[in-house]
Amino acid sequence: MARTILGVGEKVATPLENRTIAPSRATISGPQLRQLLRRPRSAGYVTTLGKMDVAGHQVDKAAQETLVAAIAAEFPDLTIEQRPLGIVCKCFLGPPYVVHICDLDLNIVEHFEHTRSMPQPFERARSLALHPSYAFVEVYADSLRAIASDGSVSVIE
Amino acid sequence: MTDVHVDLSGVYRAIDRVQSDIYTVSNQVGAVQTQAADIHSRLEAFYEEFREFVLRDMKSKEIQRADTRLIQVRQDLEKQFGHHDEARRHAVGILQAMDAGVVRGSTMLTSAEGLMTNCPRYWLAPALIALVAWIRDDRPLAEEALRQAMTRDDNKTALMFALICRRAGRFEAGGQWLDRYFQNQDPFKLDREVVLMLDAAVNGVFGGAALDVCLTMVDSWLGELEAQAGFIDNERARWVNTLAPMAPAVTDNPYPHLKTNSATWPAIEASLSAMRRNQVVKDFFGGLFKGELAPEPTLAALVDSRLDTLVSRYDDAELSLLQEERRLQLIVEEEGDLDRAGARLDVEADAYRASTDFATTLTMAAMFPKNVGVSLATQRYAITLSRDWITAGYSDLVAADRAALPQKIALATGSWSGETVDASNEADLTADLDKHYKERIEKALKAVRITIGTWVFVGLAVLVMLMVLGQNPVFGLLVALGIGGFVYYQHANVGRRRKSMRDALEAEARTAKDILRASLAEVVDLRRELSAEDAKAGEVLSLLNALEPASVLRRRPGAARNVMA
Repeated sequence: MARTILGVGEKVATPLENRTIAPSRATISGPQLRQLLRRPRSAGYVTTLGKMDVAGHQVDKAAQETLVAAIAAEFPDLTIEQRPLGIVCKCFLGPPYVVHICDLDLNIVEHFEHTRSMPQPFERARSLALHPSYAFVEVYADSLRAIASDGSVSVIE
Repeated sequence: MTDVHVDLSGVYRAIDRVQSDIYTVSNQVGAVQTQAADIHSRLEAFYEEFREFVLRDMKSKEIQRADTRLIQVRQDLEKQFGHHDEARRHAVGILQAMDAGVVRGSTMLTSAEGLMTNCPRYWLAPALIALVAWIRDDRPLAEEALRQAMTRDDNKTALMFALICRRAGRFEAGGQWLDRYFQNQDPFKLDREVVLMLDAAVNGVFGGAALDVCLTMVDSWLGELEAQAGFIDNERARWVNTLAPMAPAVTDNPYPHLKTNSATWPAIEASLSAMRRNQVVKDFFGGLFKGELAPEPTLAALVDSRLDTLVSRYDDAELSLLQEERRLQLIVEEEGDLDRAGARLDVEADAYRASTDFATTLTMAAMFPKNVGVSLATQRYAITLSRDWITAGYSDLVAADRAALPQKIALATGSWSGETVDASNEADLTADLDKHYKERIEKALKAVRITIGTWVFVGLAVLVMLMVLGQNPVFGLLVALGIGGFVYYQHANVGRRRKSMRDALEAEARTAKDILRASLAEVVDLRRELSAEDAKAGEVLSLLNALEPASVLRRRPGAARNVMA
């Protein structure tokens, strides 16, 4: 199923031609899925996603591929639908931008000023993404998971 | 040719009177509008005061009702279960009489036998007969009475004799009773008196092998619980629900301008309450682990106090009345606020269930020790055992609070509105307010002008003047002067009205700007306070993460290590 393209403002469309898709596995669901998503994130994953940023509006292709590999390695047991819809991080481009969304497929990276709302369900993650206690926020269809720099996970339903 | 004189003075006077009346009516309409606005504002204030009065009155009535009902509930408890008190007093009395050696065995037996008839179905009566029979070395009677007691309540009987054996130094027998007690236990459905076992273990009643058995059993129960899918998630959610109501209400009116002038105030107030919770939680857990516990009494005193608790606190038949008693106490504590009392009772509800899982037992012991009858040492132990769940639940709660923090704060004053994040855009907002009022003043002034009706009248008068001028130049000139005077008067009146309107709007603009500045100053203070209170969450987590279960166990002197909590 094609992923929805996010946002209407500043966009960077970076199609990935050689993206690796994890092989399908037995589906995990319910309490087991929630337990799995509670597991602390690995240091490599946190470092890679936390430091991912874009210079201007261009995205480095090699960096994208590194990121895709990190995410696939972090969630090998999950289907595409069970993975985050996107990641919201603090934006280090400087004013007027404060946060950005990374679509997990990395089709879109979109930056937002503090006056412009992100589409739902990402807008809920704004305060968390800006908070110094969290490296970034994973946004799911029904919840948010704020990831601290030590990998610990806080769940907001 | 005959001169034609038309006396129009009456017409002019009538027109003047009409004009004057129009101005008067216009002024009166303006005054009425002002009064209407004033009345509306007063009505709003009156409605608010009335609403608060009604609320206060309702709460006061709830407190009176709760006080009255509390007396009734306590009387019911005494009436329905008071006869159990006699049996309860016998339990410790018999042991102390045995210690003192001043009461004959036959006397104690007669007294215990009387309890069988006075307290039907009560497990303690045959248990006491078994105890006295044991003291008198009457084995058949002891065994028969024990069978009766265990039929009525196996768990409480086993725990009682485990304690008594410990008191009497009968370690092997005590160990067997503990084994029997644990055999009957299911960590997913434990009777309430399990906290007593925990309390006895933590406070050093059980030593040596018995303590190891208790601690091993506790570890085993925790392992079984955590192996269940979804258990840890449920425990995190439980601690979120347990800690969330600790958020204090915001009653100190810290930001009056924001309260009055910001539509975001309800979200700000909720965030302030949530952030201030961190200090409450820190004080709660920090206070519990501060300082040393009272010196340990003798073993006999320790056992007697636990026996007292066992026999007096865990009768399931009393649960509904005890819960009602607690509900009424909470209504009084919350000053008649039924919602807050209900929220607190929901959190404590598990303390009044006949059986719960071990995790719930730990939560109740950690948060409501008096409700379940455990000591401070056991409360500390329960918290340390629950540490990982508490920190996870608290982290989720804090994250939810941070997600709900309002980023943009709406401000409205006078007819202007805007928003800010941290008041750093004060210059822009002030400029916008100035621009808004400037445009408003211009628009309002443009609307104040000589009306078309007046111009039509002037036009007609000019026509008449022209007609008259041809026939009577002097009179026509007088009419022209009259028209000129009339127009001048109209113009001057417009000028007066415009000035009055400008003055009023400029005064409103000045007031609005003052309110804006005061509100922005409060935004700065608010962000500072929210940040400071939010930082305390890290202190709470550090405090909790430093806790270790083994460090809070109290061991009897002479045991491997005497560790004071």
